[in-house]
Amino acid sequence: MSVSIALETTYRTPDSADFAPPVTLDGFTLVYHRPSGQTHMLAQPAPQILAALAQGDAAPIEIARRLAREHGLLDSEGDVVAVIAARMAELAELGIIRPV
Amino acid sequence: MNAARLLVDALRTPESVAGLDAVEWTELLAAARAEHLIASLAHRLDGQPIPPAASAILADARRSAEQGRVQALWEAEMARRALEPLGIPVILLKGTAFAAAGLDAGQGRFIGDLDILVPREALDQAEKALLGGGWEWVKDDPYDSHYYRTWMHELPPLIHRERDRMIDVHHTILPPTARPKPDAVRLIADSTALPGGLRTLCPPDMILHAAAHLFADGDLAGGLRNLWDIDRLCREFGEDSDFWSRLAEHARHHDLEKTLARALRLSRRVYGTPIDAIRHAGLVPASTKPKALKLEGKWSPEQVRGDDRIGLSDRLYIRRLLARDGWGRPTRKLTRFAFYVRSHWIRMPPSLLARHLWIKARR
Amino acid sequence: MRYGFAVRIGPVGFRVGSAWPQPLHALTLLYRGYPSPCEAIPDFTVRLEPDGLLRRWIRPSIAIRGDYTLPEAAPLALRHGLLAAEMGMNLQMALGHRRFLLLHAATVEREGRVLILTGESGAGKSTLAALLGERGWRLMGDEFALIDCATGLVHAFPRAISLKNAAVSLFPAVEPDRWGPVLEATPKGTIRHLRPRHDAIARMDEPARAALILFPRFGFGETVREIGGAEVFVRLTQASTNYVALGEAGFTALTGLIVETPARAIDYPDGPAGIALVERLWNEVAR
Repeated sequence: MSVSIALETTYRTPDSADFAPPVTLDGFTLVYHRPSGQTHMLAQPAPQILAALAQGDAAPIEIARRLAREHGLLDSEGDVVAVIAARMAELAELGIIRPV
Repeated sequence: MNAARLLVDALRTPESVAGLDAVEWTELLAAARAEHLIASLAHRLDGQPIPPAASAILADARRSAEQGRVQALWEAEMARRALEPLGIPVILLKGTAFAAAGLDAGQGRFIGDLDILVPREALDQAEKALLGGGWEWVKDDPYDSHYYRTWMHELPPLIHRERDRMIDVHHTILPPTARPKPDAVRLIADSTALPGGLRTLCPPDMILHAAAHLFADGDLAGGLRNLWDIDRLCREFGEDSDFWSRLAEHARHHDLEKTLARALRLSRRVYGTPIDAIRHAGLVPASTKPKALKLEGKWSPEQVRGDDRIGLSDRLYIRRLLARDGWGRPTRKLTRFAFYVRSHWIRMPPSLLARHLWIKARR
Repeated sequence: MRYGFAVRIGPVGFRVGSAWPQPLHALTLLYRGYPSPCEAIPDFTVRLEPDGLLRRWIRPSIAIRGDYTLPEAAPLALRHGLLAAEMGMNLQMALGHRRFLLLHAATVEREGRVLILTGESGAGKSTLAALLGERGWRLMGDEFALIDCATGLVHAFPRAISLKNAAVSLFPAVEPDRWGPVLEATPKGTIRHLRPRHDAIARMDEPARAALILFPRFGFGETVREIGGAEVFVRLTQASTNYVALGEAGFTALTGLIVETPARAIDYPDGPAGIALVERLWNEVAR
């Protein structure tokens, strides 16, 4: 997927019932995804992205805004939205989130 | 009593387990495991008086099958997402289809690889889309790959890089080299939509596929389970009164009448599938006496191809199906061997089979 | 099958069928005093079968089969029948067990609390657990730790311990009748089985809660390292044959275990140093 498409993609809010209560160990968030039976170990900012997406369908740029409101800017260097878009594309490849 | 018979009786008549002793329970469970029917058995025996030790084993099997079901349906969903942009019909086959459609045949069914059917002309696109979605070839061998593409009815097997699960992409339901020639275009046209975008074969075609799969897809290993699928499907769909005439019509169209007739006869004999509706549809001759088989010297090609005029009798099929002992071991070696040889005759013409086996032996 | 043997080890009942009597004679001796499967209905079947038509009599060779089989597995010689039976039982557990979360680990218990020793094969955990079992700890198991998904408790699976013959000298006080026969030139080298002590067998149905997880490594200078929970999780899922099959129950049980239980990686040069290190950490770190 080219970078510009990834930036534009709007992702659906996942159904909260799809996840068992997450467990944080040592900076990583362990997530059991019920529809797939898979366990994922998510490093930051993936758990924060998922939490932001829980508020409503959004594209990476909107997620960046939500994260900035919640946590302050994640990373003042480089292109924050591009990083978020890349992580969201990875989450989509795992099947955890889906484009609208 | 033969352990496979114990299994069949328990599936057919759950109340019959009330009198079983510990040895019989042990044998029943071993046979059920060996025939991949233990979770189906667990569902059938729900509510029966069962010793706690057996009950715990059956409960484990149910939970296993349920988790397997979750994974299988997820695999189907991921394939759907990868193929969605192509806009082609994607038809689930076998256990995944039963589970996705919520059928009785899906209850406790252990599901292996994902099998899907797509239009032949879409095979190349489907292949590209799957490779782009994280699947890769299981075998890289050009000969095997050629064998699959030319002689079989499917792409060479693909496995997903991350999830380590296989997918088989078919364009029809029997190898082109097999004698019956089903009409893939009609199978696809008659398919039923599921909510979410995937499809299944329509009910008559599901049964036809199960019947074809039972006989054409190997030496009847796993036969009791395949036959159980057929029994469950027939009972569930057969409640509809004009189902049987539709089934007969589809069987005629897809050149699977003999296959279906034999499958239904065996299902009736082994699992007691209700016969009357089947007979009304003209699928079973009025006389059900099995034909005697004359074995003189070697098998002739006509005999092994299962030509009904001088083919294998129902009794031999049943003998093969019930070839399992109380230790879970396969029994009846000569019968098994006969079916093994037969299965290869069905898959490939003899000259090609010889070439195939020669090339494989040289490696 | 011609010859049969049945045994219960912790919550798991086995029946072992054999085409020859010798493996089952040895098994019967090694497991004397163990209970039978509950209600005489075993959870798993192991079959020791001739590998080929003539192999029942000529250079007899055992194919290990059962409810679950690895078709490509190499057969064993008849004189290694005891090992074949052990491998067969391990295989049923590894491929088929679904009732408890299985971790490839040794476990020992003291005062209702369990030490879990886990890590790669050959890292010394079986020997260390056996040594601890002779020094006031109750041996719960040397191969599999069974975690109850509902309660989080560790259940015992005190099978006969498989040890390298060289390790026998570490146990000078053990009674001769607790040792199985010497099995030479097996695929695992020369090995010998050790029966657990009487109390370990008698108390096999007593679970206990986990208090410390150690990742031991034998044959290195003494070191203790803290390990983060995420690393423990990865290592324990690698050490589990049935985590994925158990689904959410497995996730809850394993994360619960890790959240509640401290973990350390330890290196130790020899048996005595290992024991001393374990005792020290047990007092300092265990929950």
